[in-house]
Amino acid sequence: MNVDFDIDSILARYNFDSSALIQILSDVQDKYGYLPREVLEDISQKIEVSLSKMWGVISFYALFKLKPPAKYNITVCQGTACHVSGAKRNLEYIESKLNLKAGEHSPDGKYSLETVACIGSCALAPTIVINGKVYGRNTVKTIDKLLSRLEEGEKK
Amino acid sequence: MSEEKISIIVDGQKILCKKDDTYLSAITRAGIEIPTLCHMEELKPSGACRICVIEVEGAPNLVAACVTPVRPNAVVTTYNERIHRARQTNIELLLRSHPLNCIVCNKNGVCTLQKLAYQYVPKSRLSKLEGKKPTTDLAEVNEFFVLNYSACIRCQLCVRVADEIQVCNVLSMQDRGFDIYPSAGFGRSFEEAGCVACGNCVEVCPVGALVSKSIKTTKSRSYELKKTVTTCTYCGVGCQLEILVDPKQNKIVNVQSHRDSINGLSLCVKGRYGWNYVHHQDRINTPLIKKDGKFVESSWEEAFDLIEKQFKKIISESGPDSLAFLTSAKCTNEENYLMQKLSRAAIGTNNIDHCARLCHASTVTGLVKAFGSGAMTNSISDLTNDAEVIFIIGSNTTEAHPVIGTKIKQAVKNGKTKLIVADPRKIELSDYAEVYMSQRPGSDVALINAMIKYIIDEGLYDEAFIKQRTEDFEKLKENISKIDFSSLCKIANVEEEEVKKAASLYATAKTAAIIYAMGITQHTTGTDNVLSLANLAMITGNVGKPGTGVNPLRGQNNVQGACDLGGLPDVFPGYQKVTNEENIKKFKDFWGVDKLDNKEGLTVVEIMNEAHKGNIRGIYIMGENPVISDPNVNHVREALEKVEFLVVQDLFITETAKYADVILPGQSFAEKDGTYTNTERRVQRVRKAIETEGSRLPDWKILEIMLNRFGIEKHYNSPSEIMDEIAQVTPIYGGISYERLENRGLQWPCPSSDHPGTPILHKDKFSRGKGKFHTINYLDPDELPDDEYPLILTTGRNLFHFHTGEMTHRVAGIHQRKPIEKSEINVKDAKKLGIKTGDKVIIESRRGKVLTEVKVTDRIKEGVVFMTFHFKDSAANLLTNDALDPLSKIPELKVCAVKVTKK
Repeated sequence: MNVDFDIDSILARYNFDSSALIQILSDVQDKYGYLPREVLEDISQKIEVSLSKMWGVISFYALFKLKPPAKYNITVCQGTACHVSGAKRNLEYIESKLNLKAGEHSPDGKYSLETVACIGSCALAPTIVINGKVYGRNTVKTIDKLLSRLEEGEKK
Repeated sequence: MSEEKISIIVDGQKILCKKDDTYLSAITRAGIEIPTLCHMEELKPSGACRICVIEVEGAPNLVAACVTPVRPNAVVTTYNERIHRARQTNIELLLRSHPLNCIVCNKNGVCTLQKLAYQYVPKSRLSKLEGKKPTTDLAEVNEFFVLNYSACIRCQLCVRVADEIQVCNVLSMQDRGFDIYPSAGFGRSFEEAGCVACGNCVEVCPVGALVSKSIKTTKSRSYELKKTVTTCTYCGVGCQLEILVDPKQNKIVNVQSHRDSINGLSLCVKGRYGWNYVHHQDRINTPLIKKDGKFVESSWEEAFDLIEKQFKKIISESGPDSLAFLTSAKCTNEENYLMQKLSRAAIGTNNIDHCARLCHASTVTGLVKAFGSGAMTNSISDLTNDAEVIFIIGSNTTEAHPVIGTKIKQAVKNGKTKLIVADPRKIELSDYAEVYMSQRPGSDVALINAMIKYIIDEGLYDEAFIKQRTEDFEKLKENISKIDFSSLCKIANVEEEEVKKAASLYATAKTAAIIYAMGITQHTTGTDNVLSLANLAMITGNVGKPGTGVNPLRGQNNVQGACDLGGLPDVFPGYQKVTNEENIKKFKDFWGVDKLDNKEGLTVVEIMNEAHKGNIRGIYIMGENPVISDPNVNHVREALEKVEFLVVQDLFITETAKYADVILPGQSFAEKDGTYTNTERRVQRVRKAIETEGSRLPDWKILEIMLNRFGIEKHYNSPSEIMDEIAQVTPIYGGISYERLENRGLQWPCPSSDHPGTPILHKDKFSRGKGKFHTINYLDPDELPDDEYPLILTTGRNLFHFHTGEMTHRVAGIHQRKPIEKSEINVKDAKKLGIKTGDKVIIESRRGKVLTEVKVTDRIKEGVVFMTFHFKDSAANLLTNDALDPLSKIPELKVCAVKVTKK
C-alpha cells in the first residue's frame, strides 16, 4: 500500500501523550477507516507505547478495526428489541446470501459483515446498518432488496 | 518528622504497620499467612484474583488485602466461614476454565492453584467443575519455553513482570472477558515483539501455563527435584540461581532465580537457559595427551608425570621465567589463589596473568592511581535506587550485564533516575536517556574533558569536596583552562549543546553515578579514560555516597576475584605488590619457600610476544581461550605453535586447547564448590549441584596435585580450607569464611571476622588518603582510518552469547536463536558500498580478514563497523589491534581501521 500517512497532526492534538491512546486510535480510525499497521508502529515510536500494549487496547474494544473496511460494511444489530423481532434470522440469511460469517470480509473486498450489541434504534427493530446508514423493520424480503440494490450499484 | 505508628488488630492480635502498608504487607510481615494468587512482593499489587480477601470491621464487603491501604485501628479477620466461602467461589471459577489434569502436569506439587484448591475446594465439588474449557488458537513455542494457553488463569503476573521487572513491554492481555490471554499481539511470536528470553515471566507463572522446555526432560516430578543455590557463571553481575537437578538422572533440568539476592526475581537468558553445556557431549572426561598430532586419553598419573617432566626440564634449562601461567576469570577464587601460588611459590615466576588484562587492566591501574582501589566504588542496589543521574559510557549494559541493565531501566521508568548515555552505537539504553551522545570511538578523553571544562567554567564543581578530599585540582584546572571546549567536541564529533546538557545534568544532580565498561578501558588510552572519569566524579563530589561513584562493570563472573587473588603479574593476593620486600617476606614465610620472584612478571599480550620470540617455552592455561579472545589472533596462534609445551585445563577442546600438548579436564561450576566475587566486590558461594562424570577433577584439586608435584606439600580437604588460607594473607578478604557467606555473601574490604563488609568504597576517606586529580590530554588511538582502511571497527557483546562462545554455542536454544555473527554497519556507509542487510561481506584490517553477515542499521555511527567476538567463524579478533596502553598493557580492542567489501 502506497499511502503517505500523516499522523503527527493527530498526535499533536493530544500533545503526544500516551494516556490519550484510545482517542488517538479512534481519530486514526476515523481518518483511514481502520488502523493500518504502519501507522500503529509509527505511533508506538512517537508516544512510546509498545505495539503489545496497543494490541491490548485494540483487541479490547470491538470498535477498532485492523483491516481496511470493505466497500459495503453491513452491521446487524443483535440488541434485545432486534433479537425478539428476528435479528438472528436476518443475520443467518445475510450470512448464507453473501457466504460470509459475522466478522469476515469477502475475498473480493466488497462486503464485510459484523454484529453489534445495540445501536439504539430499537423502534425500527430489527435493524441493519450499511456504511453508517440505518435500515429498519427488516425481513428476508427487504434484505433481498437491499442486497440486490448494492449489486446493481456495482454494475453501473 | 518521626515516623507515624499505625496499629491494627488482626485476629485479636495488635500489629504495628508502616504508613504505606497494605493489609497484606503488614499482616504477612507479622507472620500471619494470607493466600494469594496474583500477588508478588516485587510487583505492584493488582487485586485481580480476589483470593486475598479479608474482613475489615465496618467495611460492607470483604476487601482485597493486597490493594487496600491500612486504616489506623482497623479490626481485621483473616479467616472465617464467610472468607472461606468467598475464596472457594473464586478458586472454583478459576478451576472451571482450567484443565483438571494435575496428574500429568509439570507443575504438579508446585502449583499455587492446586495448593489452594486442596485447601478450599471439597472433593464433592470437583465433578461440577469439569465443564466447558475455553480454547484458543494462540500459541507461543520458542527455543526456551512454551505458553500453554489452556492452562492460563489470567492472573497477569507474566504481563506485570514483563512491564515492571524486565521492562520489555512484550506482553499485554488480549481481548476481553472470558477469552483474555497474555499475548504479544498482531499474531507475533514473543521474539518478534522484542522478547529477550529472560524467562522471568515463566518463573512467576503460578500454574502450568508458562513452562520452561527443559523441565519436560525430567523423569522426576517437580517436587522431587533437588534445589541448589549457587552463583551464575556468566557475567560479573553475580546473579544467584537455584539449580534444579533431577536426582534420577543427575542432570540439571531447570534454573530459577534465588529471590533473596542482588538479582531478586531477574535472570537473563544465559543464566536461566544457558546451562546445558554442562552436560554437553563435547565435555572432556579424562586427561588427553597429544601423541603424533592426535589427542589420546591418558591417566591422571601419566598426564601429571609428563607436565612435571617437561616443566622441570624447561626450568633447569632456562629458568622459571621461561614458563607462564594464564589463570581464569571463570574459575573460583580458591582456584585462582592456588594457580598463582603454583606460579609464584612452586615454580618461582610472576609470569601470571589472565583475561582481566583484556578488559579492566586500565581500570585497576587508573582507579588505583586516582582513588587507591581499583574496583567498583558502589553497589548495584545503591546505583539503581539512589542515583538521580547515571552517566553510562562505553557500557552496553542491557546486552553485557543484562540484570543491571533491567534495573537501570526500572529506575528510569519509575522516575527515580535520569540517564546520560555516551556510545558510538544507539544502544538500547539510549532510548531511555535524557541525553544521548554518539562519540567517535577512541575520543572519550576529549568528551569527558569537554564535560569537565564546562563544569569548571560554569562553576558547577563541588568546592568543599575538592578542598577536603582531593589533591592536585589546581593542576587539572590550569590544564583544562588551556583547552578549547569547541575543539574537544569536534574531536569527539558530538554536538556542543548535548555535551553542555549532559555536563550540567551530571554536575547538578544530588547524586550522580558513572557506569562504564570496556568501551572505556580497551584503548591505548584506557588508563587515561579511567582517570578522566575519576576526575569528573571528583570535581562534582560524586564519590563515597550512595548513588554515586565510578563503577566499572566487570565482564566475567569472577574476573574481580581472579584479580583480587593475585592472578596478575605485579601483585600477590589482595593487591600486595610483588616488588615490596615486606610482602615478599610475608608470603615466603607463609608459603614456606626460600625464595619468591621480586620483579613484575609478563602480561597476557607480552607472554604471547615472548612466546613468539622463543623466550616463553611453556604455558599453563586454565579456563581461558586466547585464540579467540585476544587481539591479533594470528599472532597468538603463531605464538602457541612455537611454545614447546602447552598445558590447557578446560571443559572442552577449545580453539586454544587444540594447540595443547596436554589437556586436563576441569569441572564446571555445577560440579564443584567455591566462591566467585562479582562486580560489586561481593564474594558469593558456588555450590556443587551435580555429581561429576568421567575422571574429571575439580580444578582446585588439579592445582593442589600440581603444587605437590612442584614441592609444596599442602593438602586441602575442601575449598573452604583454601578460603581460610586466603583470609590469613589477604587483608581485604581477612574476615571471609564460608560460614559467613551463607546468605548474601560479603563485599570486600572485609578485614576481620566481625566486619560487615563494605558496600561503598572511599566513604570518608579515599583508600589512598586523598583523591588525586590527573592531568589528561586527548591522544589519538593507535590506528586511525585512512584511504586504504577507511572505517573504524569496534567490538562488543551480544546478550545471548558469552565471551568466546565455548559455553553458549553448546546450548541448543541459544545457538538456534543466534547462530552466526551479524556485524553492523551504518546505512550511509552501506549505501556507498552497495551492501544490504543479510549480505556476506569481508572485513579486513592490516592484521587479517573475516567473512561475516552484515546488518545495516542507523543505530551505529557513520564510519563505524561493529562486530561481536563470540563467533569463531567470524573471529573479530583476527582484525583487532594489539597495540597496548603503556601503563596498564591493555590492548586497543575497541578501535582499529578496516575496510569492508561485498563478497
